[in-house]
Amino acid sequence: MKTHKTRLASLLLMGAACFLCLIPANAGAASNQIDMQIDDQPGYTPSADEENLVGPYERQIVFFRTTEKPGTIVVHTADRYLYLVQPDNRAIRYGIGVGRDGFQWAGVKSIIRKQEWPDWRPPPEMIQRQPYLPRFMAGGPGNPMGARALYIGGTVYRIHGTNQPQTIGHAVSSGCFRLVNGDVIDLYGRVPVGTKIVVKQAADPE
Amino acid sequence: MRSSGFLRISAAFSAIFLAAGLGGCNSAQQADPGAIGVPSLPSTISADSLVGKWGVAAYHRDSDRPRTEGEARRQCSNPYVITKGPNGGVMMHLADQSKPQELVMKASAGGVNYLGPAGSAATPDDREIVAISDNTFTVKWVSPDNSNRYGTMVYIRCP
Repeated sequence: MKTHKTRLASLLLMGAACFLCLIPANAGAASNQIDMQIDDQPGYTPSADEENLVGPYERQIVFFRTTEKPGTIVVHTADRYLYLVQPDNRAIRYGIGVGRDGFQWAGVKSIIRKQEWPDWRPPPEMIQRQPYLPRFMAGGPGNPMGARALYIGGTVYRIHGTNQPQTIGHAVSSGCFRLVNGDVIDLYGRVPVGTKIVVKQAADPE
Repeated sequence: MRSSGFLRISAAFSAIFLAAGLGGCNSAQQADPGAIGVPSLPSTISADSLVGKWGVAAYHRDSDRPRTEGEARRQCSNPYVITKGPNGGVMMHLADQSKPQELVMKASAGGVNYLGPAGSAATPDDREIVAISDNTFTVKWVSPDNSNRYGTMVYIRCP
C-alpha cells in the first residue's frame, strides 16, 4: 500500500514537474500527434516487445535522394528520422526521439567518439527536484543513455540509446537524438569515428 | 508515544538476541534474504556518522564500483547534505520524496543494518547499509523497484 502511494506520488511529481514535455510530431506518424509528459526512468528495463518498433519508426531501407556520400548520417528532426546514407539513392532509416521545443538544432558536424553503455548524469533540474538522486550513474541496462553513444563533435549532443522506447518519434530530449537500443547498436556498428553528420529540420525542397 | 513503544520493543528484542549472541555487527554484514519488515534492533552504526556533505554516485554492475567511487568523489561540487534530525536520526530523503524526513539506523536480527523510518527493519522504504567507514558508505534500496532505478549508491564524504 505504502509502495503504491510512493509510486503514485512519484508519478504525480513527475507529471507536475513536466521536466521533459513532449510536443506533437509533425511529420513522422499521425499516431504521434499527441502530447505526452515523461521523465527519465533510470533503472527501467523495457521488454523486448517494447523495444520492437513497428510502423514508420522501424529500422528499414528507404529510397533517399541526397548529395551526401554513403556513410553520412543525415537527421531530419521534424520527421523524427535518422538516415545512414547508402549507395544508389538508398538509406537505412531509423526512428528517433529529438530535442523538445527550444532544444532542436541544425548543423554539419562529425562523430568524434563512440562509447558502449555510456554513463548518465541527471541534469541539474532533476537533481534539484530529486536531491537524493546520484549525480552519476554508471552505464548499463536500465540506464537512460541506453546501450551505445556516438558523440557529436563541437556540441554537447549525442546520438544514444534509450530505455524508453515509447519516446521514439517524439520531441523529448535536450537536443540529443535517441534510438531504441537495438537500433543504436546497429548504427554504432556501421559508423566509425569521423563520420559526417548533417542535422536539419527537414528534407530540402526538391 | 509511538516512539517510546518502539524503543521498548526494540530493547526487548535487543536483549533477547544479544543474549543469544546474535547481536548486529556492521563490520561483517550478512545477507538478509527475504527479510521484509522484520522487528528492528538498535544498530551498531551511529546516525551521527552519516551527518555531513557527500558526493553521491551509483552503479548497477559490481565491475563499475571502483570508477563509481571516483565519480562520487568528483561530485562534491553538488553534494548531498545530511543533517542531524531532532530525535537522534538524520534528515534524508526517501525515494521519490521531495522533502527530507528523519531516518534512523536500525538492524535486523541477522545483523544487517538499515537506514529508514523508525519502526521495523528491511521495509521497502529502507536502504541496506552495504558498507560503511569514516569517509564513505554504500547503500542498496530494499525495494527492488527502487534498487533497479537508483542502483547501489556510494557516498563519499566531501572535505
